[in-house]
Amino acid sequence: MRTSDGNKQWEFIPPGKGQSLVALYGTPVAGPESVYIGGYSGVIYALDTATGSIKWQFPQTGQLGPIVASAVLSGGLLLVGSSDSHVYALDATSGLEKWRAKVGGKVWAEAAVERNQVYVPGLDGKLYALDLSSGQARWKFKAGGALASPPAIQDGKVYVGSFDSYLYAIETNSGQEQWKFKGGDWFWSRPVAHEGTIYAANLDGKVYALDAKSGRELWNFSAESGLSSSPVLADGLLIVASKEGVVFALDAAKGNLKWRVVAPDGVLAPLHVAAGKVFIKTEGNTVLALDIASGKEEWKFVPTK
Amino acid sequence: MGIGDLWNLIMFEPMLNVLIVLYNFLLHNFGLTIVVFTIIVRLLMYPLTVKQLRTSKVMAEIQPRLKEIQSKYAKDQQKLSQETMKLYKEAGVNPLGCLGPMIIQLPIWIALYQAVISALATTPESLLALSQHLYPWPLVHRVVPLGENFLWLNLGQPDRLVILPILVAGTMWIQQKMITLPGGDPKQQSMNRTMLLMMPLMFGFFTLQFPSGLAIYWVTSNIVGIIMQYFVTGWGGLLNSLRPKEKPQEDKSKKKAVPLRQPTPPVVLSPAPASEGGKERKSAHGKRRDKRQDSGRSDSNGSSTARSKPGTGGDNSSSKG
Repeated sequence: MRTSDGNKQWEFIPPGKGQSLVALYGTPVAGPESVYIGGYSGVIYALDTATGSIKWQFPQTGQLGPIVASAVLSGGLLLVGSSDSHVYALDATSGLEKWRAKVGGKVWAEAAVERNQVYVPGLDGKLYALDLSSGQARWKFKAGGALASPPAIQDGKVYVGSFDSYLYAIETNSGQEQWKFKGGDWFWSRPVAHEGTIYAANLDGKVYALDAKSGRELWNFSAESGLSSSPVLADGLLIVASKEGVVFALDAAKGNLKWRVVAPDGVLAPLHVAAGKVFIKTEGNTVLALDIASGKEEWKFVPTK
Repeated sequence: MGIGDLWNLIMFEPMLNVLIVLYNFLLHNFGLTIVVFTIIVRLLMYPLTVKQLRTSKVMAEIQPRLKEIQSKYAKDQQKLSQETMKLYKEAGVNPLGCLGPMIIQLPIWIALYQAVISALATTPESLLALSQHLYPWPLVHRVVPLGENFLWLNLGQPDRLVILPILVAGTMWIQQKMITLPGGDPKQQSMNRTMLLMMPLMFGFFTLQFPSGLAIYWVTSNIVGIIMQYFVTGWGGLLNSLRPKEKPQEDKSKKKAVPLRQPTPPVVLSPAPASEGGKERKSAHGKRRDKRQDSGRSDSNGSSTARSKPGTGGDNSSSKG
C-alpha cells in the first residue's frame, strides 16, 4: 500500500493447501526490487515490489519448518531463521542457498547483522554468533530463558531480551555478558539502541530506558497492558503500542507521555516508521498511519474480508 | 472477577504451572511429563474414582431387577417409586451417588486437558497467551517453550505413523468393554454396542487431527482407568468377550438366567446393606458375580454397558477432557 494515503497497490496470498490460508508472522523486508517474507507453511517468497507476483520461492519444492521470524537483508544475502532450528542464507536475487547453519532450537526472532557477523536468537535460550559469509559458529551465549526477541546492536554490544525476564548486553567479539537488567516479565520485542540508551518494552507493561554502558535504569513508563510489539524511535519520540491496542509516544529523554492513541484492537506486531508517519498493524489486520509528532490519524486501511 | 478468571485462578493455572515445574525434573521431556502428571492426577483422584466405579457397578447389577419392577408396576407410579427406592436401599446405593465424584472430577479433567494444550504452545499467539498464566517462578519461565519431541512424535503435531490413534481407540475400547455388564433390554444393548464401537473410533479419529501430546494424555488416562477398573470390577465384560461362545453353555446359562428374573434379589446383592465398604467390594468380586455375568451374557447373546452413563461418565469425560 502507498505510505502517503494507504491505497492498496497489490496483495499477496501465499499458496496454502486447499482452501487453508498460510499465516505470515514476519514483517516483510523490502530490497531494491523485491519484497521478502516467509510463511508459517515453511516457504520463503521473493515478491516483485511493483506487482506482488512471486519472483522465486525457497525451497522450490517441499517446505522448511514453519517460519515465524522476519527475514534480514544484508549485502545481497537474505537471512531467515526457521522453526526447524536452521538459519538459511539465500542469494537475494536468485533465491539460491548460500549456506545453512544448524542451531539448537527454533528461531522465531529475526537475526541482526553487523561487521560480517550474524546474531541469531534461539528459543533454546542461546544467542548464536555466526560468520556472515560461511555460517560458521563463532560463539554462543546462554541466557536463562528462551530468546524470542530480535537483538539490537550498538557500540560493540548486542542487546537481547529473554523469557527469564532479563535483558542481556553481550560483547560482540567475545560473547561475554557485560550486564543484565531484570524486567517484570518476558522481553519479547526488539530493544531499541540509540545514543547510549537502550529502550526495551516488556510483557509486564513497562518500557525501560537503560544506560547502555552499565544497564542502569534511567526511567520507565508504565503502559496499560503488556508490550509485545517492538517500539520505534523517531524525532526524539519513543513510540510503543500495547497488546490492548493503546499507542503511546514518549519523550525519549525523560519518558514523559507526549500523546496517546487508542487503536481499533490489540497490537502485537512491531511498529514501523517511514515518511514522517508511524505505521501500526493491529490484530484485526487494520493498518493505521499516525503522524509522528501529534499522533493524528493520517489514514486507516481496513482489509476487505 | 469473571467465571473465566476464577476458573484460571483455581483450576487451570495451578495445573499448568505444576505441569511445567514437573517438566524441569523429568529430563525436560514433555511427553514423559504428560504421562507422569496424568498418573499423579489420576492417583490423587483414586478414592473418588473408586467410589464412583463401585456405585456404578452396583447400579448396573440391579438393572435387571429394576426392569422387572418397572414392568411389574408400570401402571402404578406410586408403587413403582416405592419399590424402586426399596431396591436402592437394599442394594445400598443412592442413584445419584456416582454423580458427586464425577462432578468433582470433571473440572479436573478439563483443567488437565487445557494445561496440556496450553503448554504445547506452537505459535507466537499461543506462547504469548501462555505467558499470562505462568506464576512468577523462575523455574517455570526458564523452560518455556517446552520441548516438543518425544519418542517418534512431535507433541505439537498429530502422529503421522497413526500408532497413537490406534492406542487411543484400543485402550478406550478395552476400558469400555471392562465396564460392560450383561442384561438390559435389546434396544439398550444395541445402543451400547454401537457406543462401544463409536466412542473409541471417534477418539481415534480425533487423535488423527489433534496434537499428539493430547493423545499421550488420553492413552495414559485410559490405561490408568483400565488398571483402576480392574481393581474394582475385574476384567468384567472384556473377559466375556474374549471367551469363545459355546452353545451348550448358552443353553445352560439360559436356564440359569431364569432366577434372575424372579423378584428375589440376586445373591450378590444380599450382603450389601447401605454401605460401600469392604463387604460390598467382596461381593462385587465374588465368583458368583462372574457366573452371573456369564449367564447374563449368554442369556442376551450380547452385552450392554449397564453402567453406561454413571459409570463411564467419569472415565470417559476424562478422556474427552
